Amino acid sequence: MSNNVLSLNDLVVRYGSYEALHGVSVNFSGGCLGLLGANGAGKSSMLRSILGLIRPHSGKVSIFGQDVAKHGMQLRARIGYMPERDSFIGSISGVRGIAHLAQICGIPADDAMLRAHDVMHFVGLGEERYREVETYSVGMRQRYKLAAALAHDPDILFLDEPTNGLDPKSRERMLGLIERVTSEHNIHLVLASHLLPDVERLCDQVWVLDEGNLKQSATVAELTTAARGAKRVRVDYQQAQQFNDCAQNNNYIIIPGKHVGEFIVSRDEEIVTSPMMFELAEVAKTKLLGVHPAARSLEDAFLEALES
Amino acid sequence: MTFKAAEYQRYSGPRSGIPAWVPLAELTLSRGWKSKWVRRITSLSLMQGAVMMIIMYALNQVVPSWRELTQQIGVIAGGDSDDFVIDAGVYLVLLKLFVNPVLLPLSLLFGYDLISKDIETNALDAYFSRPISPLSYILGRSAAFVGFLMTATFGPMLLVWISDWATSSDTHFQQIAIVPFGMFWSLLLISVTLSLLVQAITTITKSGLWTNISFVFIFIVVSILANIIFAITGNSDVLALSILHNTGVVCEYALNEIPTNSQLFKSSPNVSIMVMLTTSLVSFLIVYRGLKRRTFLG
Repeated sequence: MSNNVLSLNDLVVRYGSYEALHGVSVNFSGGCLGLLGANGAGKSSMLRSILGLIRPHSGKVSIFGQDVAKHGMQLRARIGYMPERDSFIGSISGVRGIAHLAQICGIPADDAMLRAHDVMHFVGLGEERYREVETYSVGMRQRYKLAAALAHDPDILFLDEPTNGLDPKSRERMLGLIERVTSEHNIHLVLASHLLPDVERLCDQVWVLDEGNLKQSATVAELTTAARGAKRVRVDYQQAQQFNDCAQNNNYIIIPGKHVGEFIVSRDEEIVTSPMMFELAEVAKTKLLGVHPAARSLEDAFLEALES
Repeated sequence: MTFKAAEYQRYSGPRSGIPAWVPLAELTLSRGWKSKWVRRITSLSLMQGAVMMIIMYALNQVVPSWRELTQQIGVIAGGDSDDFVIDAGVYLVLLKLFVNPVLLPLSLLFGYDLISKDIETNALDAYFSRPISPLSYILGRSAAFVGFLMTATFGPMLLVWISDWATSSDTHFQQIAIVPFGMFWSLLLISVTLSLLVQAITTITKSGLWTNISFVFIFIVVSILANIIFAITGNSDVLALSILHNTGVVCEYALNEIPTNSQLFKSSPNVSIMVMLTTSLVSFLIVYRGLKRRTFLG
């Protein structure tokens, strides 16, 4: 049996003639995984096929080493899913709905009700737990979905855009809740989001999806420190070309930055230091306005992965 | 486990082996009972049974031979003595009294938004990401639905029958022995058909309002249509297109009280039963197909 928490093997998902996922093969060994991709990249299709909500055209999905197609029912008791769209049991109170869903996962009725109260308090809906979910605001509904995903104590959480539609304060609160659950209770997390700061904050591993293809699978650390040893340099914009030419003549790898006069400067198998940059500016007879370590953000890595 | 824990805690208790459809059936019952009209009709139905039981008991205490007396009064009134015997025929009247004013409205009030509500609130995603299969889902919903309809109709009728049997002689028992089984299977068949039909309609329409409209359309318009076709073709089996007609035929057949009057046009019981079973099967397949689109597991 594999030690991977989640394994996809040549997964193809089709909706009629449209192929949403083109043979994705990748493993997740545990921890917090971010599924990154623009809208329509195939994140939700991937999540729904992992959960058995849509039938993959071909390929295999395994969770905790067990084939979802064969052991899906047993696995679902260990999975917590928070869908992107609203999802709740209508015409009953929030706490009753969550207890009911926990019961379906095999928690005895009394314990299910106690846990429903607990998770409602945990997500900050203690005061509203007897209200029908129809009357909840957007932020409350997002927290309700998280509570429902947690009530039966899953071993892995699949969260589809959990901060959608939330104001900054509610978003911060939601991220805090997810962070606490995953870091303090050893619950694996698969977070599908197009919000890079959310993924950067919560996840240690990232899969980048684009038009149904897996573009990259790496740790967040690997992606953001890929430019380690390079320097982000700013020179007077009128002397930018001059600096560029001189750097190339001196065997530096130079990539233009976001603004005119900004460059990422690196050298093969050598760490670029600030004195080296001052020296280069002197040779190029240019005015150096700033030298900083060139750490990449996840956004840079994401865009680069898409372009590749 | 602490109550009002602000921190998340892992669950360390046992997991129950209760099938997933059981909590779903419980929830369906409690949701159905929330409807004011469901409560009113059910209470009225149960009260009707209880009142009849009390009347029968009181009659038996005051006039122990009231059954013979009824027959004699019937003869004096100019009827045949057989017409006034308390037998399965009387229970047939009672059965129809429970089927039309109780069972039909209850089935609509109880089930008009069962699945459409789950589609509207996307609850099906919540269910099918948990260990419940479409079959278990249908079983949970239908068990509660049919159980409720049976309690509201068969329950009071059984009360009446028990009090009748308990206060009568052995010879009277021979006349009403067929009643409990006959009532049970006819009500079960009608309840199963109605519950699956309502669920199928609600799956297709995805709206409580349109389920109501479609249900009424099926009952009224199809009945009228069946009568028109019968008038044209003269084939009484065509009447089996009407569910309303079939409920009557099934009740008569179950209590072995098929009218001998050839002027009363009825479809053959076998055809009616077949139509009801087919309706149930087709309705089940519609619901199952609708749910199966939302999960491939189970």
